[in-house]
Amino acid sequence: MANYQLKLSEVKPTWFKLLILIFIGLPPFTGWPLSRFMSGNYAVHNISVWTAYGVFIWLFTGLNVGGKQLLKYLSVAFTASLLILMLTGVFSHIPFLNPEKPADESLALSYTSAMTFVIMIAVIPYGLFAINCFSASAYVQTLQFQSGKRFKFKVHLALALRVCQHVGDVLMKLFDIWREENPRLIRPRFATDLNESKLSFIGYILWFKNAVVTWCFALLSHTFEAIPYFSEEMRIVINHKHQKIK
Amino acid sequence: MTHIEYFNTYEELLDFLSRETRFNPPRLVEGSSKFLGKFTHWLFSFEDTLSEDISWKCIYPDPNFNLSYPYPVDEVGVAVLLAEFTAGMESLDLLKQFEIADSTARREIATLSGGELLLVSFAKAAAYTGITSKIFICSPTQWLHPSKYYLLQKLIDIYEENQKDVTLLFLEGEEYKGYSSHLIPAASAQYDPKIPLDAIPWNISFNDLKIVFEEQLFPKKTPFHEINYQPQNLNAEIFSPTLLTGDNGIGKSIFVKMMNGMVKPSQGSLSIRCLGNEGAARLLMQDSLDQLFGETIDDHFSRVFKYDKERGKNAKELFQAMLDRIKEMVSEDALLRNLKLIAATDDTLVTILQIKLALVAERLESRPPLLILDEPDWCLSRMVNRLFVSVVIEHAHRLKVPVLIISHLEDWYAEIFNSKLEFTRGTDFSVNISYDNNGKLSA
Repeated sequence: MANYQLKLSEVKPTWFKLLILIFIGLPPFTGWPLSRFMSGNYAVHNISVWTAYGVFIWLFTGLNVGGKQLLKYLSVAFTASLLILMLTGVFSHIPFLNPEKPADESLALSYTSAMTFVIMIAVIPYGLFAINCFSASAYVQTLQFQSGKRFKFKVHLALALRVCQHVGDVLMKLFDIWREENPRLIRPRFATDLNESKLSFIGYILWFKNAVVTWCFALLSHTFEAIPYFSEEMRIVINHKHQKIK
Repeated sequence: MTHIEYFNTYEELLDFLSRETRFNPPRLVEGSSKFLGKFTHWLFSFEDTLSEDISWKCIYPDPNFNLSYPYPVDEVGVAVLLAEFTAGMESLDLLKQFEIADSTARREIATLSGGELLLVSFAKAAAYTGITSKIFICSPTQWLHPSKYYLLQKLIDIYEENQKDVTLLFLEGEEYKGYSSHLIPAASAQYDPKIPLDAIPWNISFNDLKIVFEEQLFPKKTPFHEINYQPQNLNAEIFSPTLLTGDNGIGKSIFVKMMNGMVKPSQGSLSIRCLGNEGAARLLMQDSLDQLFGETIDDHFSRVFKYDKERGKNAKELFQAMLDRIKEMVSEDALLRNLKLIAATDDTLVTILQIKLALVAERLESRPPLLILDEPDWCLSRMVNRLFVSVVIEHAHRLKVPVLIISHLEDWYAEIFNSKLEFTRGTDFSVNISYDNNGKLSA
């Protein structure tokens, strides 16, 4: 794959790069043009259409980022998709959230879940690739030579882009910490009570749910923790620009 | 003009910094919930302060916070362009002046060692000289190998030549040789906790050990890199407490991650053993605060030991025992009493010392064949660190767990360690590992 590398991230001008990315990523948002090939009655056919789109989008991403990076993106996509699917499954069986459903509705739910899964594993790697196609530093460097019009907004945009990219760094760091704490990743290190309990499966589900919640909070707060420092950096850019204008 | 300020604790250092800069970012030490509350408050008051003039630059104690972009070359590139640093100077040239090679400059920030991050921070701060009026440099010696201290001096010189103020914020006991050494308080040199530390033998063996970092194509082309550990075969008995030293970026942290099992060697094998106990070491990381996973100490214990109540109780008792030991030692020693340690007087405030003790207690409860303390001195003054390390070793040895300390500050541990592992650069990508049992073997 490395021999046939595409270099979309180097396409200039930036608006053209954005246009290409939006065009390729259009189906998840608008359904078009895949909706033209869909059929209302055949679930398997519709899922196949999305799978074909998924293969295309993986290939495109893979040709740009290389095989190893694509595998990393895919691991994030599969983990997130499976988690969401499992949580959806659990919630759909909570009685007060879902009063008695007829059998055909349950079937519809399974179809929707399968479709969501296919769309997510297709779109997440592409989303990660798209975010990393833009360089916050290159963007800030271009701001240096632009007029003062909407300057502050552009700096905020650079900050937002950088924060999105920073999630990846935090994820890697937290993963290392988690692995140090729980070498088996999806089993707690200290699990004597869990192993001895007759209700170990329920205990394990609860542990898993707790782990997901802990991860979400940790990811959120560790990502946010760096924002004030990033923003101080951006304030230097703003101040310097203002001083130059004066 | 250069000033030096000394602090007994990290918390005092941060207080001083926020008073001087009026920048007080929310911190994670009190757990995610409180942090998110404070962060929301900060976010809504952000626009109000946006127009304030910023004319200071800071090298924070955690180098991760000094850097805003994913690659060193971008980081310094923005600074050079923005501050119009020395005409014609490219970011790579500036990084090279601070001993960051071209290949390192193109690696992701997330893969650099703490010392390398600090050197990138120095290069970036140097580029910002033109648009800042003063710089605060916090506790730099805890990340920097002594052979790189001259680069700190280079940064100070750049600011002084431009008539800018430099404030060095040191934790008590930090020595910066070659610069105003007469100003360094001598208190810590007199401190001896008088904890008898026995020697525990442990064994390290590896053969044909190599770690490879493949070339990356995206987002930026990152060069191939590998570390080839020498000698090819080593089987050594060494004695705890053990000290591991070596230059910045030589591969110490990645080596201990292999000991811990977090990183798998690309080739060869590595194993550790102590008194029949074999397996993966436990690790207290350099930036250990993150290991709380955004939780409070209590919440962390509750989650980790949710399904092992017995061990959870033991870990909490161990944590309390270590804390009590510290309080006892503080009450008995006039020098320590003068430090007014919050950890020793107030149970309501969370300090970095308490967090480190809690994480150590959790690790010791898993009875690993080795406990690794990666730069335990980070954010601790020399006396507090001596206290912390001595108490940890005392309790670890009681449980027959040997302790390996990674540090650049060999002087700080001179009276503690029994064996020393030293990493030195060889030819090409190789790193030589030598060990010295300090006379124990011949004895």
